[in-house]
Amino acid sequence: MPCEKRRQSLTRFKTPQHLKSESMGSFEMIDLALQMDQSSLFQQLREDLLSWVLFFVFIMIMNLYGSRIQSQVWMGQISRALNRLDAFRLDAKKEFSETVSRFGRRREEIKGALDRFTGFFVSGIATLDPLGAFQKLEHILDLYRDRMKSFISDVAPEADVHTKANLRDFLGSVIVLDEIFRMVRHFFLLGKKTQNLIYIAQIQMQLPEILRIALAFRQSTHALKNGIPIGDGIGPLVAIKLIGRSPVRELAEGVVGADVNIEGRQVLVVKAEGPGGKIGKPGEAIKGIVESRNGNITRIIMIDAARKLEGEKTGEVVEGVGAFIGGLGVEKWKIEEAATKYAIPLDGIAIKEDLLEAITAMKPEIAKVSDGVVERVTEMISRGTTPGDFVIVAGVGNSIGIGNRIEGEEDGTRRTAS
Amino acid sequence: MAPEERRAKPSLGSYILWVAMIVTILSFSAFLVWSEITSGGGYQDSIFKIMLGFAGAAIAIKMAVDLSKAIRGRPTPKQLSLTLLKCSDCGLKSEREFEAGDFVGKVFEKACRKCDGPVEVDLIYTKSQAK
Repeated sequence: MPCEKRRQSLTRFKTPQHLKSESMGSFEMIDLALQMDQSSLFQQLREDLLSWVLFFVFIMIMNLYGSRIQSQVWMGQISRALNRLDAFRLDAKKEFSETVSRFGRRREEIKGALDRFTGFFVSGIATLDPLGAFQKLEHILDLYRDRMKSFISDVAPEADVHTKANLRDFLGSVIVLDEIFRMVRHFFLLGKKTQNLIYIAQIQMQLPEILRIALAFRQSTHALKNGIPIGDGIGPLVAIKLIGRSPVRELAEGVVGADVNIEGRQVLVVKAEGPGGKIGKPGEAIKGIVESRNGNITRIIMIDAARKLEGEKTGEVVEGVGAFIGGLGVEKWKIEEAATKYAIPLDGIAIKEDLLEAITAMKPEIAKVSDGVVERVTEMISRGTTPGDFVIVAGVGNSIGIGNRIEGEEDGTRRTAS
Repeated sequence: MAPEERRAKPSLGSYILWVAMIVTILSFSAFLVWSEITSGGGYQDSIFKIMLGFAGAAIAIKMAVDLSKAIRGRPTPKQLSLTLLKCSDCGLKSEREFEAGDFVGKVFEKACRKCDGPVEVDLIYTKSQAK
Protein backbone atom coordinates (compact mmCIF):
# COMPACT_ATOMS: atom_id res chain seq x y z
CA MET A 1 0.00 0.00 0.00
CA PRO A 2 2.64 2.58 0.82
CA CYS A 3 4.46 1.66 -2.42
CA GLU A 4 1.35 2.30 -4.44
CA LYS A 5 0.89 5.71 -2.81
CA ARG A 6 4.46 6.67 -3.53
CA ARG A 7 4.13 5.66 -7.23
CA GLN A 8 0.95 7.76 -7.54
CA SER A 9 2.57 10.77 -5.92
CA LEU A 10 5.51 10.57 -8.31
CA THR A 11 3.22 10.27 -11.30
CA ARG A 12 1.35 13.37 -10.14
CA PHE A 13 4.47 15.49 -10.52
CA LYS A 14 5.47 14.14 -13.92
CA THR A 15 4.97 16.46 -16.92
CA PRO A 16 3.15 15.28 -20.04
CA GLN A 17 6.56 15.11 -21.71
CA HIS A 18 7.80 12.70 -19.07
CA LEU A 19 4.73 10.59 -19.39
CA LYS A 20 5.11 10.63 -23.16
CA SER A 21 8.73 9.65 -22.98
CA GLU A 22 7.92 6.70 -20.89
CA SER A 23 6.00 5.33 -23.81
CA MET A 24 8.75 6.10 -26.34
CA GLY A 25 11.74 4.17 -27.42
CA SER A 26 15.35 5.11 -26.58
CA PHE A 27 15.97 6.73 -30.04
CA GLU A 28 13.22 9.27 -29.52
CA MET A 29 14.52 10.00 -26.06
CA ILE A 30 17.98 10.94 -27.44
CA ASP A 31 16.36 13.25 -30.02
CA LEU A 32 14.38 14.97 -27.29
CA ALA A 33 17.45 15.41 -25.14
CA LEU A 34 19.26 17.09 -28.06
CA GLN A 35 16.32 19.46 -28.57
CA MET A 36 16.37 20.37 -24.88
CA ASP A 37 20.16 21.01 -25.01
CA GLN A 38 19.70 23.33 -27.99
CA SER A 39 16.95 25.28 -26.26
CA SER A 40 19.04 25.71 -23.11
CA LEU A 41 22.02 26.79 -25.27
CA PHE A 42 19.93 29.48 -26.98
CA GLN A 43 18.67 30.59 -23.59
CA GLN A 44 22.24 30.84 -22.29
CA LEU A 45 23.29 32.76 -25.41
CA ARG A 46 20.45 35.22 -24.87
CA GLU A 47 21.61 35.74 -21.26
CA ASP A 48 25.23 36.25 -22.32
CA LEU A 49 24.37 38.59 -25.18
CA LEU A 50 24.47 41.60 -22.90
CA SER A 51 27.91 40.59 -21.62
CA TRP A 52 29.16 40.19 -25.19
CA VAL A 53 27.79 43.55 -26.24
CA LEU A 54 29.36 45.22 -23.21
CA PHE A 55 32.66 43.48 -23.96
CA PHE A 56 32.72 44.64 -27.58
CA VAL A 57 31.70 48.17 -26.62
CA PHE A 58 34.56 48.23 -24.13
CA ILE A 59 37.04 47.00 -26.77
CA MET A 60 35.78 49.58 -29.25
CA ILE A 61 36.08 52.41 -26.73
CA MET A 62 39.56 51.35 -25.71
CA ASN A 63 40.64 51.09 -29.35
CA LEU A 64 39.25 54.40 -30.41
CA TYR A 65 39.64 56.50 -27.27
CA GLY A 66 42.31 54.63 -25.24
CA SER A 67 45.08 57.11 -26.00
CA ARG A 68 42.75 60.04 -25.30
CA ILE A 69 41.77 58.58 -21.93
CA GLN A 70 45.46 58.00 -21.18
CA SER A 71 46.33 61.57 -22.13
CA GLN A 72 43.50 62.88 -19.91
CA VAL A 73 44.84 60.89 -16.95
CA TRP A 74 48.34 62.29 -17.58
CA MET A 75 46.98 65.81 -18.01
CA GLY A 76 45.32 65.43 -14.62
CA GLN A 77 48.64 64.45 -13.08
CA ILE A 78 50.45 67.36 -14.75
CA SER A 79 47.70 69.72 -13.64
CA ARG A 80 48.10 68.67 -10.00
CA ALA A 81 51.89 69.01 -10.26
CA LEU A 82 51.44 72.43 -11.83
CA ASN A 83 49.26 73.52 -8.90
CA ARG A 84 52.02 72.41 -6.57
CA LEU A 85 54.72 74.21 -8.56
CA ASP A 86 52.59 77.35 -8.62
CA ALA A 87 52.22 77.17 -4.84
CA PHE A 88 56.02 76.76 -4.53
CA ARG A 89 56.86 79.82 -6.59
CA LEU A 90 54.15 82.05 -5.11
CA ASP A 91 55.07 81.11 -1.56
CA ALA A 92 58.77 81.65 -2.28
CA LYS A 93 58.01 85.08 -3.79
CA LYS A 94 55.88 86.02 -0.79
CA GLU A 95 58.57 84.86 1.61
CA PHE A 96 61.19 86.83 -0.33
CA SER A 97 59.13 90.03 -0.19
CA GLU A 98 58.54 89.56 3.55
CA THR A 99 62.23 88.94 4.25
CA VAL A 100 63.51 91.81 2.10
CA SER A 101 60.95 94.28 3.49
CA ARG A 102 62.99 94.35 6.72
CA PHE A 103 65.77 96.22 4.90
CA GLY A 104 64.36 99.59 3.97
CA ARG A 105 61.70 99.15 1.28
CA ARG A 106 57.95 98.61 1.46
CA ARG A 107 56.60 95.16 0.64
CA GLU A 108 54.48 96.41 -2.29
CA GLU A 109 57.52 98.03 -3.90
CA ILE A 110 59.53 94.85 -3.50
CA LYS A 111 56.70 92.74 -4.86
CA GLY A 112 56.41 94.93 -7.96
CA ALA A 113 60.16 94.88 -8.55
CA LEU A 114 60.28 91.11 -8.04
CA ASP A 115 57.42 90.50 -10.49
CA ARG A 116 59.37 92.43 -13.11
CA PHE A 117 62.61 90.61 -12.33
CA THR A 118 61.50 86.96 -12.05
CA GLY A 119 61.46 86.40 -15.79
CA PHE A 120 65.16 87.34 -15.86
CA PHE A 121 67.27 84.80 -17.67
CA VAL A 122 70.71 84.25 -19.10
CA SER A 123 70.98 83.72 -22.82
CA GLY A 124 73.46 80.96 -23.56
CA ILE A 125 76.62 81.74 -25.49
CA ALA A 126 77.25 80.76 -29.11
CA THR A 127 79.52 77.71 -29.18
CA LEU A 128 79.59 77.05 -32.90
CA ASP A 129 82.97 78.72 -32.75
CA PRO A 130 84.34 77.29 -29.48
CA LEU A 131 87.35 79.62 -29.38
CA GLY A 132 87.05 81.82 -26.30
CA ALA A 133 83.83 80.13 -25.15
CA PHE A 134 84.92 80.14 -21.49
CA GLN A 135 85.84 83.82 -21.56
CA LYS A 136 82.45 84.62 -23.10
CA LEU A 137 80.67 82.44 -20.53
CA GLU A 138 82.55 84.08 -17.67
CA HIS A 139 81.66 87.50 -18.99
CA ILE A 140 77.97 86.58 -19.20
CA LEU A 141 78.02 85.08 -15.70
CA ASP A 142 79.69 88.23 -14.34
CA LEU A 143 76.94 90.30 -15.91
CA TYR A 144 74.30 88.02 -14.38
CA ARG A 145 75.90 88.34 -10.94
CA ASP A 146 76.13 92.12 -11.30
CA ARG A 147 72.45 92.39 -12.21
CA MET A 148 71.49 90.26 -9.20
CA LYS A 149 73.68 92.40 -6.94
CA SER A 150 72.20 95.60 -8.26
CA PHE A 151 68.63 94.30 -7.83
CA ILE A 152 69.29 93.30 -4.21
CA SER A 153 71.00 96.62 -3.46
CA ASP A 154 67.95 98.34 -4.89
CA VAL A 155 65.31 96.40 -2.90
CA ALA A 156 67.32 95.96 0.32
CA PRO A 157 69.43 99.11 0.65
CA GLU A 158 69.87 98.76 4.41
CA ALA A 159 71.06 95.14 4.41
CA ASP A 160 74.70 94.44 5.27
CA VAL A 161 77.04 92.84 2.75
CA HIS A 162 76.56 89.27 4.03
CA THR A 163 72.78 89.54 4.16
CA LYS A 164 72.82 90.90 0.62
CA ALA A 165 74.80 87.86 -0.48
CA ASN A 166 72.24 85.56 1.21
CA LEU A 167 69.37 87.44 -0.42
CA ARG A 168 71.02 87.04 -3.84
CA ASP A 169 70.99 83.27 -3.37
CA PHE A 170 67.39 83.48 -2.16
CA LEU A 171 66.48 85.44 -5.30
CA GLY A 172 68.24 82.79 -7.39
CA SER A 173 65.96 80.11 -5.89
CA VAL A 174 62.86 82.22 -6.56
CA ILE A 175 63.90 82.65 -10.21
CA VAL A 176 64.54 78.92 -10.64
CA LEU A 177 61.13 78.03 -9.15
CA ASP A 178 59.45 80.50 -11.48
CA GLU A 179 61.32 79.09 -14.45
CA ILE A 180 60.36 75.49 -13.61
CA PHE A 181 56.71 76.51 -13.31
CA ARG A 182 56.78 78.32 -16.67
CA MET A 183 58.38 75.34 -18.40
CA VAL A 184 55.86 72.78 -17.07
CA ARG A 185 52.96 75.15 -17.82
CA HIS A 186 54.26 75.55 -21.38
CA PHE A 187 54.15 71.80 -22.06
CA PHE A 188 50.83 71.40 -20.24
CA LEU A 189 49.13 74.07 -22.34
CA LEU A 190 50.80 72.87 -25.53
CA GLY A 191 49.56 69.34 -24.82
CA LYS A 192 46.07 70.62 -24.04
CA LYS A 193 45.97 72.70 -27.20
CA THR A 194 47.28 70.06 -29.58
CA GLN A 195 46.12 66.93 -27.71
CA ASN A 196 49.49 65.54 -28.79
CA LEU A 197 50.40 62.58 -26.62
CA ILE A 198 54.15 63.19 -27.12
CA TYR A 199 54.05 66.68 -25.55
CA ILE A 200 52.04 65.36 -22.62
CA ALA A 201 54.05 62.16 -22.19
CA GLN A 202 57.46 63.82 -22.12
CA ILE A 203 56.52 66.17 -19.30
CA GLN A 204 54.51 63.53 -17.39
CA MET A 205 57.43 61.13 -17.39
CA GLN A 206 59.80 63.78 -16.06
CA LEU A 207 57.39 65.00 -13.37
CA PRO A 208 58.93 63.13 -10.40
CA GLU A 209 62.39 64.57 -11.15
CA ILE A 210 61.00 68.06 -11.83
CA LEU A 211 59.08 68.03 -8.55
CA ARG A 212 62.14 66.77 -6.68
CA ILE A 213 64.25 69.64 -8.02
CA ALA A 214 61.50 72.19 -7.33
CA LEU A 215 61.05 70.90 -3.78
CA ALA A 216 64.82 71.21 -3.23
CA PHE A 217 64.78 74.87 -4.32
CA ARG A 218 61.66 75.58 -2.27
CA GLN A 219 63.20 74.11 0.87
CA SER A 220 66.49 75.94 0.22
CA THR A 221 64.83 79.28 1.01
CA HIS A 222 64.69 78.37 4.71
CA ALA A 223 68.49 78.20 4.90
CA LEU A 224 69.16 81.08 2.52
CA LYS A 225 67.03 83.66 4.30
CA ASN A 226 68.38 82.73 7.74
CA GLY A 227 72.05 82.37 6.81
CA ILE A 228 72.19 78.68 7.74
CA PRO A 229 74.98 76.60 6.11
CA ILE A 230 73.80 74.44 3.22
CA GLY A 231 75.06 71.00 2.18
CA ASP A 232 77.22 72.51 -0.56
CA GLY A 233 79.11 74.38 2.17
CA ILE A 234 81.02 71.31 3.32
CA GLY A 235 84.14 72.47 1.39
CA PRO A 236 84.32 75.88 3.13
CA LEU A 237 83.47 74.17 6.45
CA VAL A 238 86.53 71.93 6.14
CA ALA A 239 88.57 74.95 5.04
CA ILE A 240 87.67 77.01 8.13
CA LYS A 241 88.60 74.08 10.33
CA LEU A 242 92.01 74.01 8.63
CA ILE A 243 92.41 77.79 8.84
CA GLY A 244 91.51 78.01 12.53
CA ARG A 245 92.51 81.43 13.87
CA SER A 246 95.07 82.16 11.14
CA PRO A 247 94.65 85.56 9.44
CA VAL A 248 93.00 85.55 6.03
CA ARG A 249 93.54 87.72 2.97
CA GLU A 250 91.53 88.25 -0.20
CA LEU A 251 92.82 86.22 -3.15
CA ALA A 252 90.22 86.88 -5.82
CA GLU A 253 86.62 88.07 -6.12
CA GLY A 254 84.73 86.50 -3.22
CA VAL A 255 87.62 84.21 -2.29
CA VAL A 256 89.87 84.39 0.77
CA GLY A 257 92.89 82.35 1.82
CA ALA A 258 95.10 81.77 4.82
CA ASP A 259 98.61 80.39 5.19
CA VAL A 260 98.81 77.53 7.67
CA ASN A 261 101.50 75.12 8.57
CA ILE A 262 100.56 71.47 8.39
CA GLU A 263 103.16 68.84 9.22
CA GLY A 264 105.95 71.26 8.21
CA ARG A 265 104.39 72.06 4.82
CA GLN A 266 103.35 75.56 3.85
CA VAL A 267 99.66 75.23 3.04
CA LEU A 268 97.50 77.94 1.52
CA VAL A 269 93.89 77.19 2.42
CA VAL A 270 91.40 78.75 0.03
CA LYS A 271 87.68 79.23 0.60
CA ALA A 272 84.76 81.39 -0.50
CA GLU A 273 84.32 84.56 1.53
CA GLY A 274 81.79 84.13 4.32
CA PRO A 275 79.57 84.13 6.21
CA GLY A 276 77.40 85.46 3.39
CA GLY A 277 76.24 83.17 0.59
CA LYS A 278 79.15 83.34 -1.84
CA ILE A 279 80.97 80.89 -4.07
CA GLY A 280 83.44 83.38 -5.46
CA LYS A 281 85.99 82.59 -8.13
CA PRO A 282 88.21 79.88 -6.66
CA GLY A 283 89.58 79.07 -10.11
CA GLU A 284 90.76 82.65 -10.50
CA ALA A 285 92.37 82.53 -7.04
CA ILE A 286 94.20 79.23 -7.66
CA LYS A 287 95.34 80.32 -11.10
CA GLY A 288 96.67 83.58 -9.62
CA ILE A 289 98.63 81.75 -6.91
CA VAL A 290 100.07 79.23 -9.37
CA GLU A 291 101.17 81.98 -11.75
CA SER A 292 102.59 84.14 -8.96
CA ARG A 293 104.78 81.21 -7.82
CA ASN A 294 105.70 80.20 -11.41
CA GLY A 295 104.12 76.83 -10.82
CA ASN A 296 106.23 76.09 -7.77
CA ILE A 297 103.43 74.20 -6.06
CA THR A 298 103.74 70.58 -5.05
CA ARG A 299 100.07 69.68 -4.94
CA ILE A 300 96.56 71.10 -5.20
CA ILE A 301 93.92 69.42 -3.06
CA MET A 302 90.28 70.30 -3.61
CA ILE A 303 87.37 69.50 -1.31
CA ASP A 304 83.83 69.71 -2.61
CA ALA A 305 80.38 68.18 -2.32
CA ALA A 306 79.68 65.67 -5.09
CA ARG A 307 76.40 64.33 -6.42
CA LYS A 308 75.68 60.97 -4.83
CA LEU A 309 74.08 58.14 -6.71
CA GLU A 310 70.93 56.54 -5.34
CA GLY A 311 71.95 53.91 -2.81
CA GLU A 312 75.11 55.72 -1.77
CA LYS A 313 75.32 57.01 1.78
CA THR A 314 74.96 60.74 2.45
CA GLY A 315 78.23 62.10 3.79
CA GLU A 316 80.35 59.33 2.31
CA VAL A 317 83.90 60.64 1.80
CA VAL A 318 85.76 59.55 -1.32
CA GLU A 319 89.07 60.55 -2.85
CA GLY A 320 89.99 61.10 -6.48
CA VAL A 321 92.03 63.10 -8.93
CA GLY A 322 91.06 66.14 -10.99
CA ALA A 323 89.56 69.53 -10.33
CA PHE A 324 86.76 68.88 -7.84
CA ILE A 325 84.51 71.82 -8.55
CA GLY A 326 81.00 72.14 -9.98
CA GLY A 327 79.30 75.01 -11.72
CA LEU A 328 79.24 75.73 -15.43
CA GLY A 329 82.92 74.92 -15.91
CA VAL A 330 84.64 78.31 -16.03
CA GLU A 331 86.46 77.90 -12.68
CA LYS A 332 87.20 74.25 -13.37
CA TRP A 333 88.76 75.21 -16.70
CA LYS A 334 91.03 77.81 -15.06
CA ILE A 335 92.29 75.32 -12.46
CA GLU A 336 92.88 72.61 -15.06
CA GLU A 337 94.71 75.06 -17.32
CA ALA A 338 97.02 76.22 -14.53
CA ALA A 339 97.68 72.72 -13.19
CA THR A 340 98.33 71.32 -16.67
CA LYS A 341 100.68 74.16 -17.60
CA TYR A 342 102.99 73.39 -14.66
CA ALA A 343 102.15 69.67 -14.30
CA ILE A 344 100.86 70.10 -10.76
CA PRO A 345 99.08 67.06 -9.32
CA LEU A 346 95.38 67.70 -8.66
CA ASP A 347 93.83 65.64 -5.87
CA GLY A 348 90.32 65.82 -4.55
CA ILE A 349 88.10 64.77 -1.70
CA ALA A 350 84.38 64.55 -2.39
CA ILE A 351 81.58 64.38 0.14
CA LYS A 352 78.57 62.61 -1.34
CA GLU A 353 75.15 64.22 -1.17
CA ASP A 354 72.15 64.60 -3.46
CA LEU A 355 70.76 67.80 -4.98
CA LEU A 356 68.22 68.31 -2.20
CA GLU A 357 70.91 67.95 0.46
CA ALA A 358 73.35 70.19 -1.44
CA ILE A 359 71.08 73.23 -1.68
CA THR A 360 69.12 72.88 1.56
CA ALA A 361 70.25 73.33 5.18
CA MET A 362 73.22 71.12 6.01
CA LYS A 363 72.31 67.78 7.55
CA PRO A 364 74.14 66.52 10.65
CA GLU A 365 75.55 63.52 8.76
CA ILE A 366 77.26 65.95 6.35
CA ALA A 367 78.42 68.49 8.94
CA LYS A 368 79.88 65.84 11.21
CA VAL A 369 82.19 64.37 8.57
CA SER A 370 84.12 67.67 8.43
CA ASP A 371 86.54 66.66 11.22
CA GLY A 372 87.21 63.37 9.45
CA VAL A 373 87.88 65.20 6.16
CA VAL A 374 90.35 67.51 7.93
CA GLU A 375 92.22 64.40 9.09
CA ARG A 376 92.19 62.98 5.56
CA VAL A 377 93.56 66.20 4.11
CA THR A 378 96.35 66.17 6.69
CA GLU A 379 97.07 62.55 5.83
CA MET A 380 97.11 63.31 2.08
CA ILE A 381 99.53 66.19 2.63
CA SER A 382 101.92 64.18 4.78
CA ARG A 383 101.72 61.21 2.41
CA GLY A 384 102.10 63.11 -0.88
CA THR A 385 104.51 65.91 0.00
CA THR A 386 107.68 66.52 1.97
CA PRO A 387 108.32 69.17 4.65
CA GLY A 388 108.91 72.59 3.11
CA ASP A 389 106.63 71.96 0.12
CA PHE A 390 103.93 74.41 -0.87
CA VAL A 391 100.40 73.00 -1.09
CA ILE A 392 97.07 74.58 -2.01
CA VAL A 393 93.96 73.25 -0.29
CA ALA A 394 90.69 74.63 -1.67
CA GLY A 395 87.40 74.15 0.13
CA VAL A 396 84.96 74.70 -2.72
CA GLY A 397 81.30 75.55 -2.25
CA ASN A 398 78.82 78.08 -0.93
CA SER A 399 80.08 79.76 2.23
CA ILE A 400 76.68 80.74 3.66
CA GLY A 401 76.74 80.59 7.45
CA ILE A 402 80.46 79.83 7.50
CA GLY A 403 82.94 82.53 8.50
CA ASN A 404 86.42 83.05 7.06
CA ARG A 405 88.27 82.06 10.22
CA ILE A 406 87.56 81.35 13.86
CA GLU A 407 87.20 84.75 15.47
CA GLY A 408 89.69 85.95 18.05
CA GLU A 409 93.39 86.48 18.21
CA GLU A 410 95.73 84.15 16.38
CA ASP A 411 96.98 81.64 18.92
CA GLY A 412 99.55 80.03 16.68
CA THR A 413 98.79 76.60 18.07
CA ARG A 414 96.46 75.29 15.43
CA ARG A 415 97.91 72.86 12.93
CA THR A 416 101.46 74.18 13.21
CA ALA A 417 104.56 72.17 12.36
CA SER A 418 104.95 69.03 14.35
CA MET B 1 61.41 76.67 10.88
CA ALA B 2 61.19 75.41 7.32
CA PRO B 3 58.56 76.89 5.04
CA GLU B 4 55.23 75.09 5.11
CA GLU B 5 54.19 73.78 1.75
CA ARG B 6 50.92 75.31 0.68
CA ARG B 7 48.34 72.71 -0.24
CA ALA B 8 47.73 72.51 -3.94
CA LYS B 9 44.17 71.23 -3.96
CA PRO B 10 42.43 69.79 -7.02
CA SER B 11 39.42 71.65 -8.46
CA LEU B 12 35.83 70.95 -7.32
CA GLY B 13 34.97 69.31 -10.66
CA SER B 14 37.92 66.97 -10.24
CA TYR B 15 36.70 66.06 -6.71
CA ILE B 16 33.23 65.24 -8.00
CA LEU B 17 34.59 63.15 -10.87
CA TRP B 18 36.84 61.12 -8.60
CA VAL B 19 34.17 60.61 -5.94
CA ALA B 20 31.68 59.51 -8.63
CA MET B 21 34.19 57.03 -10.02
CA ILE B 22 34.97 55.62 -6.58
CA VAL B 23 31.28 55.25 -5.71
CA THR B 24 30.51 53.60 -9.08
CA ILE B 25 33.33 51.08 -8.84
CA LEU B 26 32.56 50.33 -5.20
CA SER B 27 28.81 49.86 -5.86
CA PHE B 28 29.42 47.62 -8.86
CA SER B 29 31.93 45.54 -6.91
CA ALA B 30 29.56 45.20 -3.96
CA PHE B 31 26.74 44.22 -6.30
CA LEU B 32 28.89 41.56 -7.97
CA VAL B 33 29.91 39.99 -4.68
CA TRP B 34 26.45 40.19 -3.14
CA SER B 35 24.63 38.77 -6.20
CA GLU B 36 27.02 35.85 -6.53
CA ILE B 37 26.85 34.99 -2.84
CA THR B 38 23.05 35.08 -2.68
CA SER B 39 22.29 33.36 -6.00
CA GLY B 40 23.88 30.00 -6.65
CA GLY B 41 25.46 30.10 -10.12
CA GLY B 42 28.13 27.83 -11.55
CA TYR B 43 30.99 27.36 -9.11
CA GLN B 44 33.81 28.66 -11.31
CA ASP B 45 31.76 31.57 -12.61
CA SER B 46 30.86 32.66 -9.07
CA ILE B 47 34.44 32.49 -7.85
CA PHE B 48 35.56 34.62 -10.81
CA LYS B 49 32.89 37.24 -10.21
CA ILE B 50 33.55 37.39 -6.46
CA MET B 51 37.27 37.85 -7.11
CA LEU B 52 36.46 40.55 -9.65
CA GLY B 53 34.26 42.24 -7.06
CA PHE B 54 37.00 42.23 -4.43
CA ALA B 55 39.56 43.51 -6.95
CA GLY B 56 37.20 46.36 -7.87
CA ALA B 57 36.70 47.19 -4.19
CA ALA B 58 40.48 47.24 -3.67
CA ILE B 59 40.93 49.62 -6.61
CA ALA B 60 38.18 51.89 -5.25
CA ILE B 61 39.77 51.94 -1.79
CA LYS B 62 43.18 52.79 -3.29
CA MET B 63 41.60 55.63 -5.29
CA ALA B 64 39.86 56.92 -2.14
CA VAL B 65 43.14 56.89 -0.19
CA ASP B 66 44.95 58.75 -3.01
CA LEU B 67 42.15 61.30 -3.17
CA SER B 68 42.25 61.90 0.58
CA LYS B 69 46.04 62.37 0.32
CA ALA B 70 45.54 64.90 -2.46
CA ILE B 71 42.99 66.76 -0.34
CA ARG B 72 45.20 66.80 2.75
CA GLY B 73 48.32 67.81 0.80
CA ARG B 74 51.82 66.48 1.35
CA PRO B 75 53.22 66.91 4.84
CA THR B 76 56.43 68.91 4.95
CA PRO B 77 58.90 67.55 7.47
CA LYS B 78 59.55 70.02 10.26
CA GLN B 79 63.14 71.25 10.27
CA LEU B 80 65.09 72.20 13.35
CA SER B 81 68.39 74.03 12.91
CA LEU B 82 70.92 73.53 15.69
CA THR B 83 74.18 75.23 16.60
CA LEU B 84 76.95 73.10 18.06
CA LEU B 85 79.13 75.15 20.40
CA LYS B 86 82.62 74.17 21.52
CA CYS B 87 84.67 75.75 24.25
CA SER B 88 88.05 76.84 22.87
CA ASP B 89 89.72 76.18 26.26
CA CYS B 90 88.20 73.05 27.78
CA GLY B 91 86.58 71.58 24.61
CA LEU B 92 83.14 71.21 26.22
CA LYS B 93 80.52 70.78 23.53
CA SER B 94 76.91 71.86 23.79
CA GLU B 95 74.02 72.08 21.36
CA ARG B 96 71.32 74.74 21.17
CA GLU B 97 68.72 75.94 18.69
CA PHE B 98 70.10 78.13 15.87
CA GLU B 99 69.76 81.85 16.47
CA ALA B 100 69.87 84.59 13.83
CA GLY B 101 73.45 85.82 13.45
CA ASP B 102 75.10 82.47 14.25
CA PHE B 103 77.81 81.34 11.83
CA VAL B 104 80.59 78.80 11.96
CA GLY B 105 83.67 80.48 13.44
CA LYS B 106 81.75 83.00 15.54
CA VAL B 107 83.06 83.26 19.09
CA PHE B 108 81.13 84.15 22.24
CA GLU B 109 83.47 85.42 24.93
CA LYS B 110 83.22 83.98 28.46
CA ALA B 111 80.32 81.74 27.53
CA CYS B 112 81.54 78.32 28.67
CA ARG B 113 79.46 76.93 31.52
CA LYS B 114 82.37 74.89 32.78
CA CYS B 115 85.43 77.15 32.57
CA ASP B 116 84.02 80.55 31.56
CA GLY B 117 86.22 80.44 28.47
CA PRO B 118 85.38 81.56 24.92
CA VAL B 119 82.91 79.39 23.05
CA GLU B 120 83.06 79.06 19.25
CA VAL B 121 80.37 77.92 16.85
CA ASP B 122 81.77 74.59 15.67
CA LEU B 123 78.94 73.40 13.42
CA ILE B 124 75.47 74.39 12.33
CA TYR B 125 73.18 71.66 11.02
CA THR B 126 69.52 71.01 10.49
CA LYS B 127 67.55 67.98 11.51
CA SER B 128 64.32 66.92 9.84
CA GLN B 129 61.54 65.78 12.09
CA ALA B 130 58.66 63.84 10.59
CA LYS B 131 55.28 65.30 11.59
